[in-house]
Amino acid sequence: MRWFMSYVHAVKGAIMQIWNEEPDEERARAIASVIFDIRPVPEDWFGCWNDNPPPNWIAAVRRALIGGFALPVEISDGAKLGAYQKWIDDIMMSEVRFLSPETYQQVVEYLRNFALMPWDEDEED
Amino acid sequence: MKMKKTEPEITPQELARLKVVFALRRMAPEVQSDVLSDGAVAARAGIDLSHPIKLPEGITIDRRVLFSAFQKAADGKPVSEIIDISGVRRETQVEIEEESAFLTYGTHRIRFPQAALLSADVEKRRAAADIILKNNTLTMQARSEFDALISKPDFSHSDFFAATTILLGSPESFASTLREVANKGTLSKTDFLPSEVAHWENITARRLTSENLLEFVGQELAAERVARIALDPKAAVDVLSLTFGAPELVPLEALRQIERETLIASLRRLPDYADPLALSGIFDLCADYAAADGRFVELGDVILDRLLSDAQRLRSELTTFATAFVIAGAHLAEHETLRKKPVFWRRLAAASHASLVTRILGPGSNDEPSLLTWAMRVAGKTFYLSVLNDAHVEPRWRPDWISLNFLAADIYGRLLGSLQRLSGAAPPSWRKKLDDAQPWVIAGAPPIAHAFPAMLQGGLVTPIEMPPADTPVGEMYEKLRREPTVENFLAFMQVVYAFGFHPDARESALKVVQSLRTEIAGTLPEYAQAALDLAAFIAARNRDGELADAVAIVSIERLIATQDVDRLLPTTSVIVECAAAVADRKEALATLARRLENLAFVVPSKSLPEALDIFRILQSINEDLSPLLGRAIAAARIGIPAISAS
Repeated sequence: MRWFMSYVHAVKGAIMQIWNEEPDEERARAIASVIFDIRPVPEDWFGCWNDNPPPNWIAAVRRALIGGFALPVEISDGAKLGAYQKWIDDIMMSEVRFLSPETYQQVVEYLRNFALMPWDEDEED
Repeated sequence: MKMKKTEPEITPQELARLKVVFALRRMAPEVQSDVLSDGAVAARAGIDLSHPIKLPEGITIDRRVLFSAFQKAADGKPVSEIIDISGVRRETQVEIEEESAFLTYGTHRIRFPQAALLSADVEKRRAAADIILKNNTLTMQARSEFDALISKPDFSHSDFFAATTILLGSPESFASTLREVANKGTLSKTDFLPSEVAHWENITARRLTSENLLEFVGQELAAERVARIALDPKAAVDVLSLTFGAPELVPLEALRQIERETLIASLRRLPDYADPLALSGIFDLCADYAAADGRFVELGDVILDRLLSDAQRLRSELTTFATAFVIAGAHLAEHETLRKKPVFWRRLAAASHASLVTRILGPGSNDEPSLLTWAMRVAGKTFYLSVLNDAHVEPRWRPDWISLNFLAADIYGRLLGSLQRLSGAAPPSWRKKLDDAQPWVIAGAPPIAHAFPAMLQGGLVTPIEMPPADTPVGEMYEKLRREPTVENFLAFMQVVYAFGFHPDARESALKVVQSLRTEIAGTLPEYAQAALDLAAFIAARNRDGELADAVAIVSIERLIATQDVDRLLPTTSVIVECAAAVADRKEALATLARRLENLAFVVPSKSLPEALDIFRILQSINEDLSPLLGRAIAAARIGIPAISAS
């Protein structure tokens, strides 16, 4: 679902932009939280597959979504990164760890794979 | 045209390492630590990991160095100095006392519990394990895993961590942490919950094949109880009594296996605990032994005094119990792994945990209701909806019975049941104490609330018999048949909650519900809601799909007609409970999702944020319903008023 992925990227991009550009941390937290509320939840969109979803689609999308927020490659400033990590822990990661330990382990595995995945030699940038 | 890139002198290995470092630096410390925990990422990227342990006076020692010192000490070798992380030799002493290691330097003496397990000698590890397991209750399965780990010939630091993680799941470990936090000051919701999932099994038993509470009590729980009694009969009663949440859970036969003197000595400790449910169970045991041994009559008197002589104390203890039960019940319902467990097991785990918390925290302060009010604020909605969501298997217990008056009535009902079992042989002192307490117990609850099912008795039962027409209840049925009014229907409330509603009278119930469609203006809102609640309860208990349909439709229509924002949660609750009336779960959930979608289209727009919140809670507690709620959630989102620009 290309449109679904564009929605995912738009929300994540907006959140990262806020954290990169907003100098006031409290304001960044508030705005990012509002945007975060409209993030796509895979269960909500499951019905769009009309009873023919790819196997384990919900789990795979959830893992990638959480993994994406846990690895903010778009933020390079150390102080902003720290503030972002605290925010994402408050708003999502601590709950995932506590209430969804299996999902959390899948996210950790996803991040390991991401870290170890070789860079494509033909990559343009 | 493509410009030629200027490539730096960098090897593929270095590039890969840089990528790992780049990714790790963007992770939060806890995530980073978890990603590195299996060693694979560090090994592939050539990253050297250290595990610094910070000690008082600014001393930092690498974990491997410290563990090596503990191992030497556990194996009887002297340790006089340790090299810290900056290479400085520190004069220290390491001693092993029982299962702990003590690190002494300067004026400091620091305890490292369970560090004796680091011994290289398997027999020494087993000796330390014997001490540790006396103070840590584990299921038979967890104990086997622990034994296997510490018996490994090549016991490593990873094995040590795995073994200590198993111990973290013991109820004693949770109790110790909660006690420590409570002594420091304010408690948060997570302080009421254990960090380890294994805690819930260790406090009860691992469910293997049982399909209902009675099977579980007779199989897995019975086996666990026998094992615990065999291990340490003196301590067993303390732990076993945490699971005395309903009369069926008191293992009279198993406890008879404990030698009488040991048993009475163990039981005499229990009145010191603030744990009304355990004491009710122990009273049942006293009734069992009363005729044979006068000491149990005395103990029974002590328990009755403990429970009934001070109404305020009982209410305060029940406040702590209810608080912990609400938080635990909500947690177990929404936890990714635990929500898959059967409802009876989750309820038993929550009740046992609540007993443990009550023992640790004791009664609340004088402004006690605030503790329960706080719990309802932080977990009440999830708790309430989860109980109704589970009504397809446990329809008889209502979530509002977690209030203090109902809990007190339940305790009283249990004590009364034990007394009635003795019939004429009941000690007169017991009878008097129960008679004296009756007025204040029934003052805050319906007169027969003590006969309502306990929180662990919500499972399905066989249909009830229609009472003869010349009995008071028989006459009530006849009156309802002749005049199916809301008032005549509500007169059944206590009878229904205690015993059920005969299916032959369903037409009368249907007429009452249908009458609410036409008489919205003429019926007091509280009466109408109470009638719908009662009808939903009957529909779920009797698996009456037609009645459930009528109740759900009328509930939504009333919300449309009144546009009352306070009616959203009661309406949703009724709709969720009605889904329990349909035996086919797939069909039930599809219908529920459709009704919630309808609801999202008709609720007042200012209630839509709450509707969205309720839908998200339902997603979190019902994995099968979750993907069906997309349309309801979308409808709610569309209707939510835009944020004011002011």
